[in-house]
Amino acid sequence: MSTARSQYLPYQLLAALLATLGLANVARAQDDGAPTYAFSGFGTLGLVHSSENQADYTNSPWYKPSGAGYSREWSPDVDSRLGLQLDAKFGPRWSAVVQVISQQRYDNTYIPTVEWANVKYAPSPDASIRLGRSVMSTFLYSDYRNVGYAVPWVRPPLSVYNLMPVNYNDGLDASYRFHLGGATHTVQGFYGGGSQKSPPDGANNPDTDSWGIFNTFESGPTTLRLAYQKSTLTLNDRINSFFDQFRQFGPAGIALADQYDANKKPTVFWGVSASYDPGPWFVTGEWGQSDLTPSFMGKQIAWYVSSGYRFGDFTPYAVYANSRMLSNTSDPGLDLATVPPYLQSYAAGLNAGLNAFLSPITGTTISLGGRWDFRRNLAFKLQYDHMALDPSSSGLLINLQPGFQPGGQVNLISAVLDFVF
Amino acid sequence: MSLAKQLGALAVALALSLDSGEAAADVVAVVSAQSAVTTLSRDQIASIFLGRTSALPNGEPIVPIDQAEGSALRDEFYARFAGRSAAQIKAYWSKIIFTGRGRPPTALPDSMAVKQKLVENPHAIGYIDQSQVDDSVRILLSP
Repeated sequence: MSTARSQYLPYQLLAALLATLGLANVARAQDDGAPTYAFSGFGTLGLVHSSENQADYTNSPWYKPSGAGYSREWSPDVDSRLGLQLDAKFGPRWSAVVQVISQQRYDNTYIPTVEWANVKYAPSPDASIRLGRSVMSTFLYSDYRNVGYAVPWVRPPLSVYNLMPVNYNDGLDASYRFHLGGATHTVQGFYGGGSQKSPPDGANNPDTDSWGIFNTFESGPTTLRLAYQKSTLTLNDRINSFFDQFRQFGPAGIALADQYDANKKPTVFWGVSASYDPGPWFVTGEWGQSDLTPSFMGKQIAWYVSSGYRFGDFTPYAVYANSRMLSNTSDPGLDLATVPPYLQSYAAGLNAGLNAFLSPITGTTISLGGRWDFRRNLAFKLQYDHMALDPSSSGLLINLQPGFQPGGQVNLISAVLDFVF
Repeated sequence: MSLAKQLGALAVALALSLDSGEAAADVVAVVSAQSAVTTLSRDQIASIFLGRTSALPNGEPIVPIDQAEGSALRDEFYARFAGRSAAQIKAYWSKIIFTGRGRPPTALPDSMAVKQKLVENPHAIGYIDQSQVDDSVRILLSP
């Protein structure tokens, strides 16, 4: 019930607000002139090849159904996308933005989805309140991760950016900027919820009572960022029916289901980011910890460091990324000795399923690549990724086939053309 | 010559070729001669054009006026005042635009149009070629 509400309420609010805004706009048209509109867009054409043909590599393990490796030798689905944005400004204080993105969805179509849709009130150039849909700025690049042209790499390091499987928030978002000496502090907070659909059948991933606070400090070439986020999260509501099967086995089974299902579980995220970019070169690093216990997602930390040097229009770069689990990656499950004989093979199957959910997704990734700004508003990037998966880890690969061997090494080659207009 | 030295020489050669590749325009930051502003540092000017601040240190509002995208003068301005290439500036504004945080400064087609705007608005700041400077504007900084 709360799922449905969190999905539709923001749209009603937004519609109501847009209507009021239309009236407000007529009223203020005489002092501020006519509203102004701006149209812009961005996109990426990409191809990815993976050395692992018994699983798929994707940039969005929770929300995309396939990728490079098993499904496609060279996959365009990992990075290709087109985004269109309309900005409307109604005088100095009110504005609205709508951004839609066409990219591979849970159902393997490219039907556009609304990424941003909010109305902003800015009482001063340094303060603003937004109502509607905004992308959370969990990490340094989160809220523009789809704008390849604005990101140094082919894509932000996945092991870090996948720590929080929630992308956007339907609700309220406020930001205040102040200057201290030569430095700028921006404090941003949000409250709301939302839901995205998972493959293959569109299962929901609702989050409710979500809030977060982000503090960004900028001084010359230095950016430092602290992030804290909390929410009540349900991951893929169809998975819960698997865990519910444990509940038939009495208190021990109920305890296992409560410990490992991802049904309305508290989720806490901490993040620290730093970047130094004086112009000719850059170094950037982020560290994050997500705690989704008690749930099969567990507690995980991930971090990366990256640096690049700009030789005119050519920018070679390197990234080192690492992730590891802080919570258990296996569980004995139901004690088969206490299970009636006719249910033992069923219980053993459930135990195997549970351990498949708990198996780690961590490892180390080394990436080498280059960006070439060969034409105005066009960048070509080529990137090599070497992933060394932790023992029994499947990395963040999806569509694992029976022939897949966990804990191995996977190499990727990615080529993308990023553009903005 | 060691490999490291060769790479160093290559980097220097690339950097030099980049510098000489830019137009020889002499860009200066200007305000209206009627403006109360007399001095601003290079960092302050860059902050205004990058939308990081919309007020002067004394609290007065300040409105940046850009030149046309793709013009040599504009590329020169951002290279000298912000230490950023045209592609870096575009990437910077892309992240601001596509997160709904703002829009880049209004761009006018040439130095004449910028000067005219500055005369109309004493809170505006622009940049023009040094050869276009006349009594209507005051140079803030010529690097």
